Amino acid sequence: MLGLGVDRLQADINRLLTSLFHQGVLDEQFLQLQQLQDETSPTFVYDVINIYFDESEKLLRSLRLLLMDREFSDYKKIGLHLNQLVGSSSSIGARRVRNVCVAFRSASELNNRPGCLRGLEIVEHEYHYLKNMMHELFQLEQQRLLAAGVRYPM
Amino acid sequence: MSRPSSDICLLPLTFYRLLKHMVVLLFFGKEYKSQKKQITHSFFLLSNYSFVNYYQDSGQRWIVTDSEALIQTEEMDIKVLSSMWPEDVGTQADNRFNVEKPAGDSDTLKEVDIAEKRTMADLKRLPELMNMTNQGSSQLTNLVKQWEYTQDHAVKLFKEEVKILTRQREEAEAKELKIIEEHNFETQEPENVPVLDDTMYRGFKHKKRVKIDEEFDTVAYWKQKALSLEKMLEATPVEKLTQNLKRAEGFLHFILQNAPIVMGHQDKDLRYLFIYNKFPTLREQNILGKTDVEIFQGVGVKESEDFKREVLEKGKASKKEITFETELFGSKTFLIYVEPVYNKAREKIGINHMGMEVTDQVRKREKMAKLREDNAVRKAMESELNKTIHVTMLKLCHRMNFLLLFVAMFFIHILPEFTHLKLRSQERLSSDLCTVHSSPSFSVNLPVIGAGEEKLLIKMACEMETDQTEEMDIEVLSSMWPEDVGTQADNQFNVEKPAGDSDTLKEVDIAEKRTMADLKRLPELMNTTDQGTSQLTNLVKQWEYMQDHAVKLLREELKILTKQREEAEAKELKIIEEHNFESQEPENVPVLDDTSHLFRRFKHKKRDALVGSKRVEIDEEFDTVQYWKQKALSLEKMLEASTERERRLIEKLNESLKTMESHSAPVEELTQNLKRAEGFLHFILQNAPIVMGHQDKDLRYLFIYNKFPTLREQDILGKTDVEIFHGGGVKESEDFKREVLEKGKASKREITFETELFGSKTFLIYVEPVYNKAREKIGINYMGMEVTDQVRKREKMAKLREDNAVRKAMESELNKTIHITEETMRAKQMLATMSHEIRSPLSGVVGMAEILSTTKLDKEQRQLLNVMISSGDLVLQLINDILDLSKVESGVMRLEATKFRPREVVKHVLQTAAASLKKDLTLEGNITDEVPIEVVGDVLRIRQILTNLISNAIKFTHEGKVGIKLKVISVPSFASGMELNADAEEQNGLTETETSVWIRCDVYDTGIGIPGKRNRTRRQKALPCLFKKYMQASADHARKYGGTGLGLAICKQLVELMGGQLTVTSQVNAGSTFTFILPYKVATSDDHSDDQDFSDMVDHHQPEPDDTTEGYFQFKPLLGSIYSNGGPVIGNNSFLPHKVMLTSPLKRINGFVSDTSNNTAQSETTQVENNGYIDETRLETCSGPCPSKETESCSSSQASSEGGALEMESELTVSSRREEEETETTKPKILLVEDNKINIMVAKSMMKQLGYTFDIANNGVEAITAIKGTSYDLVLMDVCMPVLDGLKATRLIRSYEESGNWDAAIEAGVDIKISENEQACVHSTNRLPIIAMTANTLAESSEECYANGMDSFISKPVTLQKLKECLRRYLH
Repeated sequence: MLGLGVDRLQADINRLLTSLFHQGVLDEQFLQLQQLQDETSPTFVYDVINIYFDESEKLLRSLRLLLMDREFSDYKKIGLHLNQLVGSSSSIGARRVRNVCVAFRSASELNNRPGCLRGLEIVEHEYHYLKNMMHELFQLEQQRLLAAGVRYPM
Repeated sequence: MSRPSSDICLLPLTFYRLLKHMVVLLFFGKEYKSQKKQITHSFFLLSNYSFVNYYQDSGQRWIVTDSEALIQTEEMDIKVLSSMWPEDVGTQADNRFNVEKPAGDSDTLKEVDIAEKRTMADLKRLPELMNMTNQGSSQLTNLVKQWEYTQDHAVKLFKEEVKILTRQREEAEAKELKIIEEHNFETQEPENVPVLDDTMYRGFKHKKRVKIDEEFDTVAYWKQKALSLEKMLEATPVEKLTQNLKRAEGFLHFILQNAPIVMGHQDKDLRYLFIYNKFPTLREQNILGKTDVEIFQGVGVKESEDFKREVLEKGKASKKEITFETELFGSKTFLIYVEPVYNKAREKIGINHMGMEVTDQVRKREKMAKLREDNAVRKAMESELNKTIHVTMLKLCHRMNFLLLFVAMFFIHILPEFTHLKLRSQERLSSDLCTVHSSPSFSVNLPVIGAGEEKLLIKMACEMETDQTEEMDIEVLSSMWPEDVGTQADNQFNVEKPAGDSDTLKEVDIAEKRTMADLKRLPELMNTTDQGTSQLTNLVKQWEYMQDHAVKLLREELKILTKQREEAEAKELKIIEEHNFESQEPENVPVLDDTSHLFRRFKHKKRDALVGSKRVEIDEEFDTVQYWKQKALSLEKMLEASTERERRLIEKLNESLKTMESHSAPVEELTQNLKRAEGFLHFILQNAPIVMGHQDKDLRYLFIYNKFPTLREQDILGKTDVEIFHGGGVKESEDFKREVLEKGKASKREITFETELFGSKTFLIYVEPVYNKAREKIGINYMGMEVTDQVRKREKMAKLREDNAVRKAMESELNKTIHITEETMRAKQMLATMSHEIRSPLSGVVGMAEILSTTKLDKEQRQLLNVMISSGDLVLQLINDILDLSKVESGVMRLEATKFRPREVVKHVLQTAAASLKKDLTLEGNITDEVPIEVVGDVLRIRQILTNLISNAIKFTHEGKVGIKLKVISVPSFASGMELNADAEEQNGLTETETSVWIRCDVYDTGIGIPGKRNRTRRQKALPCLFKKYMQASADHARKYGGTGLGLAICKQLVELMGGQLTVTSQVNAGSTFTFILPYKVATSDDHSDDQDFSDMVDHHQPEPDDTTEGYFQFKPLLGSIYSNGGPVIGNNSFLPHKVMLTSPLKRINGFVSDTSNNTAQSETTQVENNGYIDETRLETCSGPCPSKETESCSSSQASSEGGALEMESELTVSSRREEEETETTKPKILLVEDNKINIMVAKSMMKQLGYTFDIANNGVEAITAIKGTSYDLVLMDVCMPVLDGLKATRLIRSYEESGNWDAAIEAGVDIKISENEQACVHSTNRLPIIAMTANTLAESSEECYANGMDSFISKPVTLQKLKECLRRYLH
């Protein structure tokens, strides 16, 4: 619809966001992030989230390596990694990732290896879920941007 | 086995089963009230078991359909049928029942009774009860089974009975059929066979012998003989007999003589032996002994002969309508009845034939049939034409789509020009532009598009031409009508036809050639573009006219057809009336001549004078010799005389005998002749399906022939039709007779009788008035021929012909429609292809342009680029819209049922609208209390409709308010009766069991309104065409407000798709109200399990319980800086609670203010994107330093809100630049210590937004190094960091501040290069504010932060608000 497509896409985005908020995947921090985006950095959210994913990917990989190592005992390193993850997750408002990371971290603080393994699993799951959702969101956003650019030159 | 009887039999069965089920139901209801669930379950089992479906029909009657029963009965039929053969089946079935009959029937009931008594059981007895229940249910099952068996049994019994009955009936029917056959062809009833009986003739040949009992030759003898002879002479019964016969015959002949009937008897060589009522010019000798073929020549003769021969061969009487075309009597149609004739030896000896002239009847019938045909054809044509109109409209729409595509292509055409121009004009080519320009697909695509456009143009031109020829057609066509209509239409077209059709095309062509224009030609180009646009508008207009034209054409055709039909109907009526009375033969008036020669011919015979008896006279004395002698002599004499007399007498007798003989010969001959003719006549008539009668002027029967067998003559004679018969047609026939009597004109009519006596029969009745000599009407003759089967056959034929004609007409029309549809389909296909073809290069262009827009461009370039992008996007959107619409039209669109809250939907729609509102409007939502909190429907579509209507309302409203009103209504009239549109039900996922509710939604505004009537414009009314595609209230509106006119069409289609109705009421300059009524299912509150409705989630997210029931929302435009104090950030996002003012224009202006670049479309994009989330801090920061600018920009934006973004842009740019400069000067130095890249990015962005910049340190060590080197106004320190965490770093910094050296840091292992003078310099600084950023974990408690010398802390994640607060506290 002329002009209506924007609204529809916007509604879709809002709905997606609402559901993400409702599920606790995201929190208000994400809105902060969105507000930080302006004309000078039109792709700010996208960039940040992308970097977040890059970084988190790395962290998760190294976490998995650490935990897979039978001889490992470096819970402190795990803790550091998790700190990073918690920090960045809370920065972008990925609440659920952050929460499971915190749980993971507390397990690592207790040197609870099975707990850590389970934590890692959950974190990875949450992370992938978030990634998918974000991917969808950005796609919608992109469409909406296209639609929103419509002007009537009459 | 016939269907009806089984149906009849099923009826009691059904009732029986119904009763049975009722009993079961009752039983359940009473016994198991306390164990409801169990019962329900059992009942379901039961009902499943027997497949009983109860449903209520419209008359509120309960009907039981029992599919299983049907199946079973059918099976049974087979079984029972076979039982006719072997005898053991019946018992076998019985056995089966006995064997399978479940035991314990009465016991079950008892136990159930027990169960009932135990319903008051306490908890302890629950298991027991459960047991009982189980037992009960199993018993129930048993019962059910038993019922079923009983039922089966009963069904079987019934079936068998039905079987027997059916068989009996069949037998009876067979017999009947046989009888009918027999009666038809009279083969079986020898007594009824027309056998030429010569006894009939013989009877009259017998001579009566004179018997005389006296002695021969005595006087007495002679005397007696003479007397008897005399008597014989005197009393011949011939006359009386003849008279009687003559009377009947007289009537018969009288009736027959004028009746249009020909009768004949032909021998087996089909030679005529007798003919009655032959053609007047033919003499008897010309006919008798000859065959049809020998007598007549012409069409139909052979046919009739063949038909007669066929009858003769088959031996079955038959009727046929044959049309003769002979020289003798022209074209006449006869209904010929032919029956074979047998002799006593049952050999065929010839045929009787009887023909009734039905020419006029046939003609009339033909006419009627033709008319009916024509009518049907016309009707079919009409409907097809309607279809065609529809299809044509569709086609036209598609043409419009093409046009739009053409427009789209025009845009595409412009796009590269802009790029091109820009590229040429600006010396420095950005690399991105290069990509765009040199992109092979791009440059390749363009010519293709150009070519396509050309093709399209050509095609359009062609189509236009064809349309024009169509117009010509109209002119020709309209000349059939009163001239003024045509001219009126013409004038209209001519007057309003946009000029410059071909010129337009030419100019477009020219424009196309100029694609390589350079900068100098820009104005020229712009001009051309303008021209092009206007030409396009022209084109569009022309297309609209064409469309109107075509529609008008078709409408006119339709009108003509309708009129023709009406005329035809009128004609038909007239014909029917005319044909009722068709006799023009007054010279043929039958006059009942009571002194007819028939009666006169046979006169009383004159009695011959008898010889007088003579006395014997003797003059002698008595008893003397003389006396005796004399006496003897005289006696002798007397004797002599006597003998003489006797001789004479004998002579006389002989003579008289001779005369008698000679006299009786003509009589006999005559009688014989008559008898023969009459014999033939009766013979022919007796079996012919003809009834004849004579009625007096009171219509009382005086004579009837071939009356209905059960009626006696005395039952009929002296009575009228109405007195004799009852039923349909009797009155009609009586009326007809009376009419004939009154009008004095013979007439024929077909009348269908529906009497108890002989059922439904159709008679062709011929009635003629009868006059006496004084030419007074004294009665009527009537003759009826049974034509029931003929009529039936004829009806069938007529129907067939009608059907055929209709089919043909439909076919031809369908072909037309198919042709058009095919064209449309092709157009659609092409549309789809073109859409796709256009879309892909266009998305390339737009995409590239967007990439281009992210690079550094100067103001002018950006402006052009934005226009380019928005134009491109518009085209894309257009294409999408077209596809969307065709999706709805083709029914591809599927609706889904989701649970949603109407209040929230309304609120969100209003919010969304408010967010993009550019005007000073109040948006309000009003929802009545009875609207359910949650309903089920396709929320996405409903939102789409609402949004569309709202945006429409906003578009056409300049001040006042726009709002949505929701209320529950009763089932609307258009949906009542059908309860709920089945489609909609299905689409919305509604089922009958769930309650549904009709909600009426009004979208009202106080805008310009929609003109109901327009005087000057082409369209008479704007309202009706409002919902049509591409239609806008007027061309002016289109120019002023833009849009394609697709929105409302889509809305309407969507609403209708959902089973609702969209209407509009409007008043010019007062506002319009769009109302749509939709059915919704009321959501049941208990299942929230799979409820993923998003609007619902909003509510969970936002802890505001009253939001679900709140019925009023208002969004007012925000003027001034009412909102500048800044609430919680969240308060202004899209989840704004109700009644919070949602800012409209100012927020947007703030966006502009902070916009450092000079773009419009892009900035707006962001605003729309952020719509609700627009951050409040920006407003704050801006409103703080430069409030005046804000108002300025505010007013400018308001002024230019409609005119487009370009004008206001310059001002905004100025203001924002000024602001930027100001903020640059007062920039404090901030250090951010953070190891997390993300956090850094976020913080950086926030700072930027707040107008600050900062340095970054990745850990404590770097922080210390940085602090050592530079003096900072503020440090934001992450607590948790590698190498050196925030707490330690802070401690070190504090120790440096206190001691003036970095010893502590060095001690801690931080590698710091210290130059003495630097150190001194730093030493002079005040206590550096260090703010911790904590994630609020156990390790990073706030106490710890303070303990380590931090001044404050911000809990992570950092929000703009927190950061702002913090910065404000420490930097000012």
